[in-house]
Amino acid sequence: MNPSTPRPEHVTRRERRAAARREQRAEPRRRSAPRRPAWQSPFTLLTAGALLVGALIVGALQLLPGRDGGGATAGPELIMPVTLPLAELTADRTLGSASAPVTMTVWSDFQCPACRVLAEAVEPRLVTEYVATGKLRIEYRDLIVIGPESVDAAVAARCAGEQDRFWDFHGVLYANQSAENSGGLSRERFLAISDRLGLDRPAFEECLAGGHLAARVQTESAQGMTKYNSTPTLEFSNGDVIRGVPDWQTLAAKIDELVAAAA
Amino acid sequence: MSPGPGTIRELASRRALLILALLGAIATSGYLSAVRLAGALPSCGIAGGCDTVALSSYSVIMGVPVAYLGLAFSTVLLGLVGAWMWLADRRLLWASYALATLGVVFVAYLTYLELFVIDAICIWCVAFAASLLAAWALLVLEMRSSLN
Repeated sequence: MNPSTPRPEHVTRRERRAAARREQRAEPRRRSAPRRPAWQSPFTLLTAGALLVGALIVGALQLLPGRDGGGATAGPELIMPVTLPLAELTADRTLGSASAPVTMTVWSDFQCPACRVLAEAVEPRLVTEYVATGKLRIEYRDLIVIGPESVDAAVAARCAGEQDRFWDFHGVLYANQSAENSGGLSRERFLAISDRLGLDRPAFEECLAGGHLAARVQTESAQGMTKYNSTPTLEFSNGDVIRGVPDWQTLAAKIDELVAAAA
Repeated sequence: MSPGPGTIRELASRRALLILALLGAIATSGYLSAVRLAGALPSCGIAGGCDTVALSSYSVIMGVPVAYLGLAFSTVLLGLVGAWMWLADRRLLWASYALATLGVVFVAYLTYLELFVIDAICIWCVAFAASLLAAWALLVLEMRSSLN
């Protein structure tokens, strides 16, 4: 047992706390140990209680519906790129004013890494400097070079396009590309993106299930294949073509030249 | 086991370790929370797997990112443990122990998900689990010396 320390009348807080600690250590031996059976010790009870509560929580989580995209819960893990504030210039897969002097058609594949670079590093600047200023209109075209999942993604993006959110969806698909390659471009993934973007869920699901868009993606891609075999390929309204991702100077010079020519 | 000078030093360093383990848990979950808040992916170096785990649907529970839960949990636990050390009220130790045990069960579940469902391990999550486990083990020791 502790040699109990004498208690002077005037003790500092520190001393009082130290004494309390010593008592705390000594207390249980005096009180609880001899009387309570082992299973009633706070240790056992607390452990059992915590395990039980833990098991209940884990069990409840396992039973939670929508782990596979059934709810908005699958949404927030997505990386959300900055949304282009151009809702009024967005129509289906076109971005920009109908009267813009230059049109740039982007042939792209949602699984192609270079296309991701284009979408993330080049397009936002194009949008602020050329699309928003009315000089350029961008049109997106599917050129499927990677695989069936690229078709699925293209279909999903078109379904978002039916709700005039193609470009937002397109941005999310590219921003999360590494994940798609490892996790698969699944229906659940598309639903999660759709939820995150706040699309009309039933309409989106109906569109995905419809199946009519896959054929259109394939047709468009086949048309593209007659001209190009790599993504991304940029095709300008005057027929000029840039293959791959151009550096900004080259691209800006090209567009400036075409704007000047159209004026 | 009357606390002679050696034992007191032992107890003190045990408590220091406990605080350290909890700070470790706060640091790892804090990093993961900050990354999530920034909308980026945790960097894993050559170990890899962090993005897979962070992007899986299991990284969010009922709309709350698991990283935030971990940060909140370890902060509350540190608060409880600190309160116990400060106020020397045994019930606070009990509460800390119960909470830590709950946390260990939950982290065990999350680790199971990483290993068998997501099929990827994130070193930050492992570091968090290890810190929490260490804190839990130290709390078990504290419980024993408080009850024996």
